[in-house]
Amino acid sequence: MDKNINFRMKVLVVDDFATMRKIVRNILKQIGFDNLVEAEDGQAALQVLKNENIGLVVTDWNMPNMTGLELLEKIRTDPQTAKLPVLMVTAEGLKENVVAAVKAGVNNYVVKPFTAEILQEKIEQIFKKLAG
Amino acid sequence: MSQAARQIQQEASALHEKEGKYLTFTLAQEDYGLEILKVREIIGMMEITAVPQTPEYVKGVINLRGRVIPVIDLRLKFGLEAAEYGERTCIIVVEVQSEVGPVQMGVVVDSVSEVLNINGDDIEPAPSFGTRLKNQFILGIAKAKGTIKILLDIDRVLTSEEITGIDSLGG
Amino acid sequence: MTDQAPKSQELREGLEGLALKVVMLEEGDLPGLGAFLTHLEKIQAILPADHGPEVALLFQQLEDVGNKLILQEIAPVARAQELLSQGVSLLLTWARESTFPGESEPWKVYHRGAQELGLMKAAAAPAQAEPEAEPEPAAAMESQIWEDPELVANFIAEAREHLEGIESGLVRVEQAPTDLQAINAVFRPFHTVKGVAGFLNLPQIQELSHEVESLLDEARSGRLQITAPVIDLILAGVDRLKDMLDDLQEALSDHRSLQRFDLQDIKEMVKKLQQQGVPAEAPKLAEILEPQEEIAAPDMDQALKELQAQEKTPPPAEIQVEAKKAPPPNAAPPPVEQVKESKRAPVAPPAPAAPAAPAAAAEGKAASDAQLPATVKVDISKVDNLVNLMGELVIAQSQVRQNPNLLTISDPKLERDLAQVSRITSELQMISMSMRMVPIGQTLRKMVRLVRDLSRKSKKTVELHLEGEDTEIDRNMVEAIYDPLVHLVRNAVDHGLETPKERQAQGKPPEGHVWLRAYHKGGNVVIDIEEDGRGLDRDRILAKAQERGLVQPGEQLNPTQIDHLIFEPGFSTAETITDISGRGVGMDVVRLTIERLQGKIEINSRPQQGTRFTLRMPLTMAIIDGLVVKVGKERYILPAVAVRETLRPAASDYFTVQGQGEIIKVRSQLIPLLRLHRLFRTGNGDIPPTEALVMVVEHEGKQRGLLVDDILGKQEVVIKSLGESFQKIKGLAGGTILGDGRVGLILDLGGIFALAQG
Repeated sequence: MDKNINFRMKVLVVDDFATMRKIVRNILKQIGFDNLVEAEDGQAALQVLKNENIGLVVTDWNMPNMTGLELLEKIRTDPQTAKLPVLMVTAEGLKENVVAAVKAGVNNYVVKPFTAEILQEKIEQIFKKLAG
Repeated sequence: MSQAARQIQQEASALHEKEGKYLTFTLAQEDYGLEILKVREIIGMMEITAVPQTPEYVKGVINLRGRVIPVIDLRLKFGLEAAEYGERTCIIVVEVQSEVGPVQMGVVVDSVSEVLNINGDDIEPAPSFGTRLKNQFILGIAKAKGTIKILLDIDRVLTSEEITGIDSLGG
Repeated sequence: MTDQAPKSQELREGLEGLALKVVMLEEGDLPGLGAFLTHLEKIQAILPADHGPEVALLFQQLEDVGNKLILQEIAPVARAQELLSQGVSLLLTWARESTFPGESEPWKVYHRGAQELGLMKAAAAPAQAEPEAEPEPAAAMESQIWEDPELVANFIAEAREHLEGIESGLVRVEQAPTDLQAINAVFRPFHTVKGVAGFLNLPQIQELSHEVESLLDEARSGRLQITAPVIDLILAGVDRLKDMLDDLQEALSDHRSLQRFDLQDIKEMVKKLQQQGVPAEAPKLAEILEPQEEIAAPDMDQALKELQAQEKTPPPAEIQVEAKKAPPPNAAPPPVEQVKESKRAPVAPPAPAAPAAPAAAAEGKAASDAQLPATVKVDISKVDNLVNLMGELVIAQSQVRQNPNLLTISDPKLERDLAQVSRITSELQMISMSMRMVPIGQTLRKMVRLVRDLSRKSKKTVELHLEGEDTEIDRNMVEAIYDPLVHLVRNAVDHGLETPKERQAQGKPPEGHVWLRAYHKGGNVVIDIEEDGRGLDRDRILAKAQERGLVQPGEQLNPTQIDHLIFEPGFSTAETITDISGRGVGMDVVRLTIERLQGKIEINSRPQQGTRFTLRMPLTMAIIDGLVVKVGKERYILPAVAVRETLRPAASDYFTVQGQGEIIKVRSQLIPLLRLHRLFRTGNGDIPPTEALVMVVEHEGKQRGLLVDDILGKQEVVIKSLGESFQKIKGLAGGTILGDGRVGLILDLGGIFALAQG
């Protein structure tokens, strides 16, 4: 089902825990995305964004050095990436971060653990809104 | 298909998979081959530093561009008569898989022949009689160029317990 | 309702913008809600001071609804969004007119809506959140764990790494219990593990992580103080988690189901600690006395007693950690706080340095921030390659310099140039080696936990001192050094140190001290493990050695030699082999490991005063000063440091013993002779010593004379491993490439001595 999603776009997965990155990638593949890139922290993610044409960023929120929020802020202030869809991956206990994230411009959020169905729905919501 | 027939077919297909390029060499007038992919280089005979307390067939170690690698004399390993090293004697440096990962070793052979492309159809299983070598060392027997070449499972030859478990065998 | 001044243009436009945003809101429109809330904030900032309580309430409710919509904690969504619209509409009316439309129809409608959605009650229970497909996940993930064993294996490996980080992170937390960064560093791993465990359907791991994580979360928000029991709980959690991971790994490889773990004890402890929260300060002495006007002596005593009773009695085995670090150059020294619970009645408040800590913590953070050096990430294989090549360069350079043809040329400029090449090569070599160096601190810090556990189990009070955490060692050494260090530290606490009672009986302070020092000296990494305990019992050691036949009756040994007897295999003078040490792993393995690293181990012990083990390892694992000797056809290399002297014995100094062993007399010492020719089966095994050279070498207090044909020279030698195949051969430390390109074998004296004996 299309629902405004281009499954060929490059998706960037950001998380400092390698196993987590793998899990998210697997789920994304289940949904139908097969053009995936990884970054292990905010700094690396920004580098990827500079060099590659990313269509969606799926990032963990609680990371050392640069948090998801800080990463989002950097993404939003750069004109090249200001409109780039960002999906926040967070844990149940940290919901207070969600409001701050939404205010800062995150497109949607998903709570761990989630299934492929849930993730797909969240991504569809993002692109439905963007399509206007 | 009967059990036996199935087994033969399995063995046959296993042998088939052994096809490919082999480096052939001679040892005591017999022809042998080993998988070219495992060969790192071929060097002429050089001074080997003997290492004490090792089996006879472990000749010692050599300096290969700064790395120290062990050298095995295949004749002695296979229980053949030792021979004087002559002009054509070479050391084939191979890389084999051991329990600790890939390892480089040299084997002394009488002479190196050529690289042959061996067809799967031309490989037969090793006969269970008449060979000096333990069957586990042999991948199969290949017919090529009118003669037969004994294809060696060089990993097994070089990583059998005797070598990796070298202990002090008495001073 | 009082009349309010006309609202500014700005305010009205702002509210109109807000209305526009509300109208555009769709279901689940997070960006829209975000924009709405941000805009709302902006407007709140420009509200006139006299805006009245109804307006304030309205703003607050709008924000609340907005937040709840984002978090999906309000339902039905359409109704809530409608409420937003109604609320904004009311504000617009208020902006255009001067008064707040408190009794109007729209207000009543809004009010009703707000009540329906549960906004009006003070302690409003949040309306039923829309169940977001929660039951599905558990079912869908049932089989996931076995579907992707590699993923689970990755998880296990990473989780273990994180757990190690926690242990060292806890040291930091112990020192700075209110440093948020430190707490966060310990919080995050539990949080992460919990997250992944959820995906992999590992409910027990999830639950355990959750318990500890929640505790740490309270600490993060200041609702819980990190005290020793809290740290203990966290460590217990780490241990339990380790067990679960081990179980998971086994279950994975054996294809069996997971073990059931009982988490009751941890859960109860967590609850208890959460209730404690931040303990109220015990009232100061003065406060207790204040209610009374006069303070009589008996009252004073009484007050003191009360205070002492309130004071928590410290647990019997307390570990006090003092970590000395070199202070960063441009910041205040990091907080060196001792987590001690005072046993004397304090007059000062007993709360552990709470007010001082935040300032110190801030300093600490500032210090570490300032320190961040620019680093480059390089593939370790590239560094290893570089180091190897550098070693080659050293040899090649040496070969050139030793070229006989070159030596005949007498050209001062050539000399200088060659010397220059040599200098540059040396320096390059140092630099490339340094790239592989890592500070030993992390390894040393792992000992903190060990000592803590040991002191607890053995009921001794131990004070551990770490020095030289910044000392760098080759990264290949780090792993290798761990086990020997653990063994030596265990010995120090278990066997070296006496119980507090025994110590006091001797007039020593009840707490035992253990020092772990690391430093560089003379091209070596030196590690001291020292304690102020009983010292080695030489009589017992000697007796045991004689029992075992290691020492002949009547044989004279100096104290150092007796000490070194403990390195013989199977030698353990502990009466009981407790589970904490004396597993038979033994000092012999420790020695072997150190020797494998081309190092030496020394003992310095004084009865009643304590023992010090000194590990000495070359900074560059790979290069030693070697003496090349000729034995028959072969050439061997001896480590130059071990050679005491070389001589050609006179006939009168040579004796044989019972036709068996041979002895050389060197000045007044009698030294056993070893024939390398026979050992290595080369050359003339019967050559009379008077026609050969004897090299007197020393190894661990023992001296021997090695018989060789000739000494060929002295050179720096790069040690190359002989490879796995030859690892077990006694007497060989490795190989090297000599000037002529041939391989020379490097001798390992310990092995040689052993071979000669057997």
